[in-house]
Amino acid sequence: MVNNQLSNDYSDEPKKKRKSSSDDAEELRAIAEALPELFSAINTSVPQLISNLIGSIYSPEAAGNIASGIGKFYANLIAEGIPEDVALDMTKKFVGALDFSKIMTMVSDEASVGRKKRRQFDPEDEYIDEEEYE
Amino acid sequence: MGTARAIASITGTAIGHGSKLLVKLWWSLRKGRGQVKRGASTFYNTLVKAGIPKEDAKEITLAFAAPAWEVLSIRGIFQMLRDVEGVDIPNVPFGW
Repeated sequence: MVNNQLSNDYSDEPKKKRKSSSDDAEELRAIAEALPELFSAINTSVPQLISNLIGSIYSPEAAGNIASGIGKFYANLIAEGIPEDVALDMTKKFVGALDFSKIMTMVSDEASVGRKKRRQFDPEDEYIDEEEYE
Repeated sequence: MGTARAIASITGTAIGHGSKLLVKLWWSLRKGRGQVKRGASTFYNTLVKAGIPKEDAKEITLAFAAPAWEVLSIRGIFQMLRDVEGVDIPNVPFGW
């Protein structure tokens, strides 16, 4: 009887192996099918992210607006009778306080939050795990 | 599709689409740098028009353009993507 049981245990092992290898094959097949979609999504979103991020601060219009604000600040200081070198120093400190790297970080963070919100309120998206955003 | 075919398909897709992604990334970085150059030029001209001396305007413009120049490199882009909220990319390959 013991021998019989042992032989049954041994005969189950190849079946398990076969089952796990077929699971692996199915998983690989699923990955192979999903990978092109994933890549095409990255292909469109990353260049868009870069161009939007740069365009929001460094487009000629945006840069012109920022510069005209700085120019007005300087011109007002001069008009108020502040000496030119002091006004320049104050303007440089004003520009230094703007900290463009921080603005860039803020814009990229806002972009990621905006994307999350859009994903959250997209009714057609079935793959959103709502608990993820709570 | 057998296992070998699936692995071959994954490898092919990774190589093909990965190369395409790299080219697109490089192209958008190039475009971004051009945009920063144009923006900085407008910025400089506006400052000079406002009466700021050329040397100081140049200094301010460099301070304005430097962060974008830092971001517009492959390393900068990966740093930015790593900093984006909710994305967890390990610093070292395979999490070692």
